[in-house]
Amino acid sequence: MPETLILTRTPATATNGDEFQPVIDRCLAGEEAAYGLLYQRLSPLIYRLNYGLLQNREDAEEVLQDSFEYAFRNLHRFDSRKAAFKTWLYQIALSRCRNKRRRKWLPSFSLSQGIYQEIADTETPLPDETLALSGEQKAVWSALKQLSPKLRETALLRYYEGLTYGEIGEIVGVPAKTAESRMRLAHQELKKILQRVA
Amino acid sequence: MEHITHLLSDYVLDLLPAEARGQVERHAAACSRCRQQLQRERQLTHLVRETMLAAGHITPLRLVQLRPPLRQRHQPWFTRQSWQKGVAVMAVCLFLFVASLSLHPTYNAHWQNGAVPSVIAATATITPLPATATQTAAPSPTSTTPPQQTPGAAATPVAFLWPR
Repeated sequence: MPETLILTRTPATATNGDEFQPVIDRCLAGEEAAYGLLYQRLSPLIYRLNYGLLQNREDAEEVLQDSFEYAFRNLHRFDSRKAAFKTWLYQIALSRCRNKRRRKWLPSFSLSQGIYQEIADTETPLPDETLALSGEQKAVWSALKQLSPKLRETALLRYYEGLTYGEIGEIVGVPAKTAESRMRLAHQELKKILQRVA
Repeated sequence: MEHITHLLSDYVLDLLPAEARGQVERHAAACSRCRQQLQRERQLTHLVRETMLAAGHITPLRLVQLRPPLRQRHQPWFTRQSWQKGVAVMAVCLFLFVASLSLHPTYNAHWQNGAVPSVIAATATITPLPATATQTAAPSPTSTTPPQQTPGAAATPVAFLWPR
């Protein structure tokens, strides 16, 4: 009988009772099935975040593997008093996404573009993965691509994951107020791009 | 009636304090224009979420394929605990210290002056069998030739551990 993971939604901020703590304890006790449960529960979330940030399926898969490999290897270092496990995992994935993006874009980076501005090529057709999307969704996907990486990170964590600004700030490494202002900017930017497309 | 469109984005993004949220809700209940604008703001949030769900879809089979191998039970020495690394480093330092002492010229000279033997030899003593002992004649007190050494009678250097 396959083992199921019963988890309840709790705030992802640092708490004494992290929802994943019992599973983590089982992992640390050497139970291999517990690693599978953690992966099964969290890998879709991490993959979607990676894909939203990198907008490339292969890169997202690679970062997913790297993130979980690192997390499993360093599970003994996780401290539930400092952060929730999900927040810790998001931090790991986000850091790897940033590295991947940096390595990918650095060789073809132009000085005329801003430090944090990615090359937004709106004329290139969208990849095959987005063929299943509706017209509106394609427009949103393209608009997300045009956001700066910092705004995109914040927007995805807020829109998709529904995290609080405190949690977003903890993951991204900025104060909550900065996360709020980034979210405000991302929202305005998205509205502007979508109005232009419409 | 003054419209509150400038507050709608912040309302949807949950950036308003409770008092301002109440103000927006009361106004939107009475103003159709602001209500429609609020609906559009909410749609954008939902649209981004739906897009992420649709675009970032991945099959469970693919996720299983991507699952990394579990933590290694037998870790290589360089990934072990820090105290083990410390012990290893100390052992290497100790070895290098002893090796440098043996190669140092002043230290060697001190040994050669007779303070300690310049050659350290490991010796082994073999007790002769009784039959062999009786066959070996004791040297005569008047004989000038030195007694012939039997293999087991004297210490025999078998290895030089510290050659000069």
